[in-house]
Amino acid sequence: MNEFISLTVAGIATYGCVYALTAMGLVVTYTTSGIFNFAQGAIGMIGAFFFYELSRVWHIPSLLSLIIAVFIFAPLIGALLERLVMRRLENAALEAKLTVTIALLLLGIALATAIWNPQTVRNLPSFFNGHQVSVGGVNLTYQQVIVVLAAILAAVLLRLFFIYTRAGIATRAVVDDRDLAALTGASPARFAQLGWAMGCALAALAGILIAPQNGALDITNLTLLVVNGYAAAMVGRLRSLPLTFAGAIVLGVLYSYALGYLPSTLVWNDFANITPMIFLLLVILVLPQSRAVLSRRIMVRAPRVVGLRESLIAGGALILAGVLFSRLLSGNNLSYANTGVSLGIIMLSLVLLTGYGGQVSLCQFSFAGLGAYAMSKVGGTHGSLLGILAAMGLAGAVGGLVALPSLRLRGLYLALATLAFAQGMDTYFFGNPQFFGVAGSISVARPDLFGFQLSSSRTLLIALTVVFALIATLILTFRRSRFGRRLVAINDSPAACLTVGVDMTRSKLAVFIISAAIAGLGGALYAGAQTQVGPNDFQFILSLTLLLIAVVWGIRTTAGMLFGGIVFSLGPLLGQHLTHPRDAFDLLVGLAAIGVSQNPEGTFGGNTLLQRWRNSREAQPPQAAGALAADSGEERLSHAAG
Amino acid sequence: MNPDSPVTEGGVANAAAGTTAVPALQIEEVHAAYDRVEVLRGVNLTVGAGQVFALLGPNGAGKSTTLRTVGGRMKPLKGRILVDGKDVTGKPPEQLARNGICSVPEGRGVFPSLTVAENLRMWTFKGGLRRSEVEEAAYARFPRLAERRKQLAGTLSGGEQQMLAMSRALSTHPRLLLLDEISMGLAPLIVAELYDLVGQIANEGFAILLVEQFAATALGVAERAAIMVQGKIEMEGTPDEVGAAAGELYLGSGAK
Repeated sequence: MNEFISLTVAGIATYGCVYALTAMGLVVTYTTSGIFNFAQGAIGMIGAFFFYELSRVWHIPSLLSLIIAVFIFAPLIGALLERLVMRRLENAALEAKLTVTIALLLLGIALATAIWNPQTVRNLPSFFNGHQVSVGGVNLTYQQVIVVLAAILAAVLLRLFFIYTRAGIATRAVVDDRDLAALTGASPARFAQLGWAMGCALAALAGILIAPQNGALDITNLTLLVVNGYAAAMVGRLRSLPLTFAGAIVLGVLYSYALGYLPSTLVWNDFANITPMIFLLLVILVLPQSRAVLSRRIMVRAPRVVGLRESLIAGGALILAGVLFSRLLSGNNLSYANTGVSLGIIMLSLVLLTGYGGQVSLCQFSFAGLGAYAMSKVGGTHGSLLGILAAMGLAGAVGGLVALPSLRLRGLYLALATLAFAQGMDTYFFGNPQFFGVAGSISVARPDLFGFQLSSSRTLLIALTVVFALIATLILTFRRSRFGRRLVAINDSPAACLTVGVDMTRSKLAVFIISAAIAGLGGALYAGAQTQVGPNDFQFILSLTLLLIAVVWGIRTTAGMLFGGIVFSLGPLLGQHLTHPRDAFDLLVGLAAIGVSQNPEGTFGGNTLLQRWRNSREAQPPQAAGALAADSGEERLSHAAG
Repeated sequence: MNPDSPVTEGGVANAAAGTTAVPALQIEEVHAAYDRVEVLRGVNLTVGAGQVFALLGPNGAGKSTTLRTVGGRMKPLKGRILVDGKDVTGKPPEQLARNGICSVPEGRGVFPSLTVAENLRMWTFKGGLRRSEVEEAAYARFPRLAERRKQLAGTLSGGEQQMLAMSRALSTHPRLLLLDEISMGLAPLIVAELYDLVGQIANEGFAILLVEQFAATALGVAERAAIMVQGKIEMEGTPDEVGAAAGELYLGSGAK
């Protein structure tokens, strides 16, 4: 009984209240700007490190340091982020919005690693040095008391702010109707900025309060701890602060019980650690979804659809380039090329699913890993064609299983559900010695296609470019087909699809399965290119990076995926020339993705030099409104298709 | 800035005379486009101080776009917009609103998830207004709103929502009121009531630019009117002249 009480108290005071702080921050930023801030954890982590710097290195009194970090430093970061990055994303597609904050997450980690060398041990003592106080027979540390008080105070202040102050009402008004808010004289951008400032302040407070409870400050741990707040924010449907608070407390207590009561074997320990993710998944699945809505993005230009002739020419050119480079490159460069093209194939799976279908998946590397696993088990030492089929089959089947419960999910909810799945896979599949061997790696044979043994890296490169060209052409053919039009339509307006009788469930399931199968194929080839793969090759963070790079290069384009894959594979190359390899790569990727806010369609799509050149070729003078409805819409579509 | 004085002094006198003072709104050769589709193709229009001006025209003529451009929600490609003789071309909507341009957008002039009282509080962003002033003015005119002050605006009936939206025009003393199809989706009886109200507001001396598809109601309260076709002002005149020409011009635009 005593244990029960102390676990409950720990659940509330140690975890629940910290989750509540960060989750409320998420809700505030989401409601005011419509952007789900994946970087919330990173901002909390940086807040904690900044606090450490002030209080431990500069010896500023704790309370003053806290005030500086939470009320000056963090809000400034938030306001700056809103001004420089988020403001431009107002009408961008979901994947661009997600990508930018994922980029901020990586950027935050990279910056923190660069500033605060991870080798140094930094300990942040508890407030009042861990002194305790007894409340009703239960011992609480002052630290815990402070956490609880801070969370309650923040919740009450937020509520008062939103209900009684004009600024709070205006913030809600901006959420309600941005245009009208501007017409009454309240600047929407300023209130979104306020939302970001408050969200970041709450993240920093959470980071600072949770930091002393986990030993030495650790960049990754702190980032992920705050990430657990996602689940709590979902309980409040990213809207309600009281529900979010309640969700955070429940999650904290459940987590505490899981840590305390589950047997301390490896498997159960893992289970306890992913409780927040399981909770997230359950909450998302149970949560009532918003009704079908019309898309808010309005495009005046119909997107360009690549014709068969063009994709065949491009595919042929790619294969020629493959042949050429297979002669020119050697050694490491050749294997980078091989890895790059196979990563490009994994990335192609996103074009169909996310680029056309608008469904954001954050678990493509999990499917790739399944493909690699199947290839290694079925493909044998020679890498038979059967192995490739098994890779596609296994990944596709699991993709279908993941998709089935998530079919009614849309947008952000789907993305978070796949994130939870990817985390589960990391722990239970890739981290499991039963599947990935005690040594933590499996060897995967290169495929043997129709008697061509691809063990030579030169032949492999040619084969990979052939596969890439085939799949890219296939995807573009899909786009022009009935299936492709249906995907785009579902993405555009689910409500309209319902009225004309499009079977959205079947289309969504199909696209998920096909996309997972492509990722599985890519994974098998990627593993074959490396010959040895381990669990680290398929971590969920890589799925995030994959999406990010895909968006940077243009997620609606196949050419972008080729370049994206090659850039992705060159990441380790930087390691040979720079002292902080991963950081430098993350830094570059992070910066590039923030560029996405300037050009959400990516390098190969949208407002680029290439696109402007295309525009000028088919330039038409501006038309009068009356003429538009009659001809230009259809004309432009047929123009693009022909 | 004193929001009260210009309205009560000059307004009533000018409503009758029309042209002597600086015009409330001048639109000069304004062009505007949605991406590559040009919607306004050289609009010229003058609303005198205290004048009620009705802008009519068929679907897609660019009436609402004209209001969006004046309200700051769209930036013109070319041309100038002057309010009370001051150039306001390209200013953001919130700044225009704080300086007394009150635009009630098509079909949604209220915040549905705020309560009536909270909506009224939003009107104070115009500047120089106290919360109690705004509430008193609104509740005095519409006692029904006072009964529902704690109710979410989204749960009000269409007519009540339009009352709430119009209360912004009434209680914030705007220099220029832009009304975009306030009759949309409302029962004829309520439309008649609303236009009664527009008439009353007009008598208080505000300049009003109103857009309507259905000519008769709008022409009833207007002092001057124009017809817009394909992004240009096709004709301008007294309500009677415009009313007489309207049918022909509407039909003519299709054959052109």
